[in-house]
Amino acid sequence: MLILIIIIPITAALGVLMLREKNAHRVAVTGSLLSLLLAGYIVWQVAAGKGITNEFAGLPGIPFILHAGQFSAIVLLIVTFVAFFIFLYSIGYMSLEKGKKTFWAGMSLFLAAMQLLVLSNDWVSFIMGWELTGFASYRLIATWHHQQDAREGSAKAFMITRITDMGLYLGVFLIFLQTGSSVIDIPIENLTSLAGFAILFAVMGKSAQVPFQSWLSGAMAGPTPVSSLLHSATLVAAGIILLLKSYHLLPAEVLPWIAATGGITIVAAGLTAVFSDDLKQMLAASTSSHLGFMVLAVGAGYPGAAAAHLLAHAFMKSSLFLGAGIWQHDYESTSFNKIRAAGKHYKFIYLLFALSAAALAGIPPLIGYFSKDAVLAAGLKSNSAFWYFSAATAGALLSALYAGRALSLLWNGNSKSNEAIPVWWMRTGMIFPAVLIIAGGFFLKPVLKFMHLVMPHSTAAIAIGIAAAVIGLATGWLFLSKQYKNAVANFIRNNYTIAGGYRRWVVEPALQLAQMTVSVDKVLDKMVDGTGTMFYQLSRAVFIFEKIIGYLVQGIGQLGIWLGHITDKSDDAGIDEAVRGIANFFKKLGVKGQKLQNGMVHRELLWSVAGFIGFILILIVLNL
Amino acid sequence: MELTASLIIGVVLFGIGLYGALSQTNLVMIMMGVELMLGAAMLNLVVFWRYLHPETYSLQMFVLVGMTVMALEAAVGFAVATQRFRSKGSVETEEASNLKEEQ
Repeated sequence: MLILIIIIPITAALGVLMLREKNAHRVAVTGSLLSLLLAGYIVWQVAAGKGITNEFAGLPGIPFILHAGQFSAIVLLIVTFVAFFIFLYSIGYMSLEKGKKTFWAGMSLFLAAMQLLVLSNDWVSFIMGWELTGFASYRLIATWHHQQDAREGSAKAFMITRITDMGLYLGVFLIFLQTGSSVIDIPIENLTSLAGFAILFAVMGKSAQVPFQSWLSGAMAGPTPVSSLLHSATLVAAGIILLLKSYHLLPAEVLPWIAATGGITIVAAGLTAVFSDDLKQMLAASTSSHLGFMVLAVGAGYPGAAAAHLLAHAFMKSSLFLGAGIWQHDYESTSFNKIRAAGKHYKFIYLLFALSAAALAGIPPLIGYFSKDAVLAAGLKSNSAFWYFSAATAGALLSALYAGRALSLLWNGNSKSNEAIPVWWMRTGMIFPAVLIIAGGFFLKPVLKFMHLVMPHSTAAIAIGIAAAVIGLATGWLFLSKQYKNAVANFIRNNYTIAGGYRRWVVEPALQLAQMTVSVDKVLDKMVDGTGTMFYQLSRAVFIFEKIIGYLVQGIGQLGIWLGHITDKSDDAGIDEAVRGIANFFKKLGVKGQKLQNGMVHRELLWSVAGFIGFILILIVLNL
Repeated sequence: MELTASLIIGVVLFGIGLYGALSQTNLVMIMMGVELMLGAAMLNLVVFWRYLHPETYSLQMFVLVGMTVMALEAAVGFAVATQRFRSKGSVETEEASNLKEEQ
């Protein structure tokens, strides 16, 4: 049953890839709508008291478990809700852009992966969802892959999150080693702090905390719906979801470090947002900063505040990005220089944008006020109240500052506009989150109670929060200039690149290492080649040796032949002649002897008698 | 004395036979000469037996064998002569040059 909500968007993604491009958005939006309806149904079931758990056969002893309890059902609903309206917005946005198939397939895949991540109750499927979201992000940022900054941003995002994913792997391995089970929501005592730090490391990367926040700036090179869905509401929130899901495991000594990370990020990223010169970059830094709020809240010991801000921030930030996307279409850029006073030409969009920005700053009774108040209260009530609360307050002030600045830049001034963009879909996409921004604040506390989480409350926090919001907005609107060109501002704007940043300390050494291994490889290649050639030469030498032997044998043969010739001649001349001579002699003798047999019988008789007498004489002489 | 005289008769006979075999051209006359020589040889045999060892009988057999040989040889010789006469018309040895070896 739960698996359906994951399978539907995956099927939609496959459908997008297989069908024609003009039908792509229909398939994807249908998938998203079905997911939303299913999510609503799941929440209804859970609210009726029936939590749904599905177990699947996974690895031996490690089954895949999908569980829709109170927490995951609500988060699921928020994810699908935001996704559905961003999908609607994207129909309008992508109608003017290229790369539709990649976009829609990637978005559907991302939706499926995010749902898997939210619903999973065992670490293996959680990691699967985590990795798939990272992959979908990689693909989606590079939708316009013919642009260099899109490719670079996509690679940077993927590499940084990949490295920090190792933290998640390490943490999960340690959890598994210590407990022997991969189920997430079992209570564990005394987990090693290394596992806690490893998980913190993963969160730092995925949720763009210091020092890994720079990938989010690079990810802005993707289409605005991607920035809106992934990099403000859901993917970066996956880190927070990890913290919330594993909160019961984290050892107590890790929490201050978590809070410290969150606190530093709030201030650092907030400053980057104040000094930024591009609307989307400002929103990216602001996302980092607000995620810092959530991390701080978890570190302070109040995961409820983090969950509240997670839900609120999803609506606020995604709607801010959607507005930025409309102006990006018209002005072909989101740099503040280009979109000066764009709000005057799109008054309704500007109104929605201003609503979200005010919510971000924390103006009551919008939803942002309630959630920020919860974080401030969490900071105040925690152990190191001074640091946490001051960081949170500074963050609130900075949020209001850059919100005011952005609003001012978008309204004051002169500019032209094309007005030729079809904004109907995009406007529709923006309206519904806006409604929730206005009305949702009152529902936060009951929702949190449904999720079994506590939302801290403190009057001092409320007062300080409102003060910070109002002061910040006013200052931002009135006083902040539109461009900061000095060196300090540049340093902050570029995400604090220290001594050359990652490029110098990580990327270039890695590339050098790669080059070195290529040279080593080449040397090895030459060596192997050389050995081969040497043996070849050796074989050729042996062959020459064989040739020599051949010549030798031939020579012997020639000698034999020559000897044969000589003997032949000597035979002919010598022996043959001798034999012939003897034969001739005897022939002549025979001829002469023939005369004895000349047919004259008388004479023959005479010879025989003479011979006989001679014989007798010999006998007498010899006295025999 | 008788021995020597008989031997001389034998020799004379042999000589006549030899002269006859050598000087005669007719095959039959040559055959006669050969017979005479054989007879003379047999006479010698008998004389030596009569005057030296008259008690040994085996020589008589030897003479008989000799006589048989004479007869056989004469038969064969006359057969050849007859055959020669039938083919050539004469038994003169001087005309028998076609018996020579072919050159």
